[in-house]
Amino acid sequence: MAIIIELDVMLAKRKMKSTELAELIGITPQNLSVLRSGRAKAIRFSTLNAICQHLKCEPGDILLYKDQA
Amino acid sequence: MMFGEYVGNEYVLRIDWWGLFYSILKVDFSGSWSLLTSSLHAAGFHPGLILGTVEILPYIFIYYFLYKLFSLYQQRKIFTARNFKCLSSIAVVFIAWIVLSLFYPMLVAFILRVAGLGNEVPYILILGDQELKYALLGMIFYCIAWVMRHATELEEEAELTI
Repeated sequence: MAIIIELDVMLAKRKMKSTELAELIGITPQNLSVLRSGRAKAIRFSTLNAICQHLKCEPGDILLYKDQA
Repeated sequence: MMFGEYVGNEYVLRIDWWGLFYSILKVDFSGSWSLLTSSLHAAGFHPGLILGTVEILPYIFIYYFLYKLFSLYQQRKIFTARNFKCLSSIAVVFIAWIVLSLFYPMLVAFILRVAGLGNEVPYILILGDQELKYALLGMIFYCIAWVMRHATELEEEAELTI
């Protein structure tokens, strides 16, 4: 997919573990793992909002578009 | 008798339970099979054996796929690829049943004539209400399978929405 999830990079910058973020945003670590691995088909605005709130970042910091054509 | 007594296009198997009570199992052939039953009986063959054993095949397949489907429901697997495969297999069985119902009497007559065992057994090809019922059931099951396939895709999508 052309949309790349760079959640791991933000987590490393904020020195936060994925399990910690999962707990803060109220989703299971398994679901966060689906999101990190790029297997997710969609992301809710509420989830994106919570991630940005706790990682103190913009949606564009974790969602990147790369042209694969 | 293994396949019961032949009574007016029906096979009736009466099971006596030690004189206390009895059970009756009936197999009746409809459409072209009914005509072939009389012809085979008149020619001295056992229609219950020739037609009954083949007629039971679609039922076996349908019960097998229903058993698989209900086993999946029992395991709380409702929207999976295996569910709609079971439903589409039942639809295929119904469509195959039309072919069987139409051409098996002709095949039986052909084999008996080639073998020289029953030259008086006629070639019968009838597209009757029985075949139309199979076609209708096949289409209904195919539609259910199609809806289930889309439901499975929606379920997968919902699961992968974070």
